[in-house]
Amino acid sequence: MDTSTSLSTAIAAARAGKRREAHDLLRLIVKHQPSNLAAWLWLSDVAETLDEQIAALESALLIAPHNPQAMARLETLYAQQETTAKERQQELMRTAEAARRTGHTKEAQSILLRTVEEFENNQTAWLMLSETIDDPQDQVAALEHAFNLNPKNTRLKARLTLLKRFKNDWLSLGDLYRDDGQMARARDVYFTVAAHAQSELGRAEADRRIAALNRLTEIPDFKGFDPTLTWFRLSLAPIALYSLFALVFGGFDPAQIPSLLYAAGGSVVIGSVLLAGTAAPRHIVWQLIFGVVGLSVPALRRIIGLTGILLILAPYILLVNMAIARLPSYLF
Amino acid sequence: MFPLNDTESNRYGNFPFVTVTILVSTVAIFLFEVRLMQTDFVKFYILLRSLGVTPRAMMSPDGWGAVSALTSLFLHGGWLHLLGNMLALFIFSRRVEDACGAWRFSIFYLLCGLCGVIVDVLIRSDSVMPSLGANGAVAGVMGAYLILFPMGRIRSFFFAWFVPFFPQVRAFWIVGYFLLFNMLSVFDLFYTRADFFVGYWAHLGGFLACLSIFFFLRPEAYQRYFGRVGV
Repeated sequence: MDTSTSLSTAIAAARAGKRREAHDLLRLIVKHQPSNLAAWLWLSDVAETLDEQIAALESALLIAPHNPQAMARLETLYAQQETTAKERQQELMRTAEAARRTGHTKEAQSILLRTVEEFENNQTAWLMLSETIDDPQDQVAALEHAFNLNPKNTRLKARLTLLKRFKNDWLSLGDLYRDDGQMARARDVYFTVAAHAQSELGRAEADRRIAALNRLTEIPDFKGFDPTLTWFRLSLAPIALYSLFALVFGGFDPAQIPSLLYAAGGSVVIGSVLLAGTAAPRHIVWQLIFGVVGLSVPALRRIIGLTGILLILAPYILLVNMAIARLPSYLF
Repeated sequence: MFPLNDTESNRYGNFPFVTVTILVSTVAIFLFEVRLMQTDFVKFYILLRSLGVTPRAMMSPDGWGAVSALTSLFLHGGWLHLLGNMLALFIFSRRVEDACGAWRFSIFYLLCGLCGVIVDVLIRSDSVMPSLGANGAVAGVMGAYLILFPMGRIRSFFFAWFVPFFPQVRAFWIVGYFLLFNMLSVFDLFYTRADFFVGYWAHLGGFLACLSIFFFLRPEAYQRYFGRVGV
């Protein structure tokens, strides 16, 4: 092959606007003569895609690393490539989000999968993907990708920890979603549990939660329970009842209430706070004590609840005992 | 016109364990009272004096108020007293218990009863006449029903020219009538200073305590109430 003749023909074809012909000839030349700088430079001019243009210029720079023309052009192409990639990612994300919003989860999932295949460093795509796939194992994998891209994201880290903790306890996982206000995902999880439950009891439990979830979705603008309000609200009842009992015991005179009953009141307060706290398992206070899972672990919640009940009951028993001791002896 | 039952079903699907337990235990205790009255009247009298609410004993720091405030909720002075309270409890407490959950409802019931007792005792603080009954607690449950389910349909019963009718009456009519009747009675007592045998003040005390129902509602019911979708 006479490369100099071929190169001239290719350049002539390029100048005459016959880009396809020039492109094919130049491809042939660089195949036989990979160190032909001019051929690479001309190829970058007539290449059809941005990627091919960049590849040609990169090859040219391997031959002549300081070629100012190639360097300047490559820089422009890189910028152009970045803009195009950004635009494409945005377009893909917009489409995926629209599909997700309209309930086309599978379609959103496939778009997102395409996105992460093409743009592996797209953190938002990984995050969105984790929210559209059903299998908790896959969710963990997607979240791990997102987390590796941004290890400083504490919210992401917390979410990943929770998912890892509950990926085998699907009912608790559903509860987590429900508490976060992600009703559709919670429902998916409960339905999966109901479909694959090994026992009638497990199925009944999942059905019960699905019914509760359906009731919650009837509430307009429901965005999850306010844990502080729930905790505070439910703490007050046993304390109020004990206070009234103690007041009655002292003949409506606080000064006549024995100091032991005052001290026992502290136990009621602590018990009430502990017991009511089990209704707000992901409150920040629990997260500070037990880590990001808070009281979401059923066994831990049971222990705390039982401790609360005992702390409440003991002072009541003491109070009733003291009151019984005052009953007239002739009654017995 | 007599209310008979609540025609609407439970939303949270709970069996009313506490309501049934209170009903059964109160009736059983009343039957025990009746038996004791027939067999040993002195013991029966002592029982009423000790386990009923005697205001003077309660106002004394050495009294046995705290126990009798509790026990009086399960004692009744006659068949009509028992039937009136238990019918009201049967009608109104099922759905309130459903909205609270069993444990919280039992605390609510005791709290309303205690508030009824306290108001009754404070009004007749010098009296040595014991008062009995779940009046305050039942009034509290009725009040809670009014707050949570004002449009609840209560099947009622009346005769018109010997023909029985069973209309479904909205709860606010029935509970509203009960509240108005008690308030008028209290005003009447206040002005005439008459002695009285019905715990009107206990009813009002229990009714007042029903405002605390929001501290007892299960989180879901609370959200539904303030989300205006019906508890």
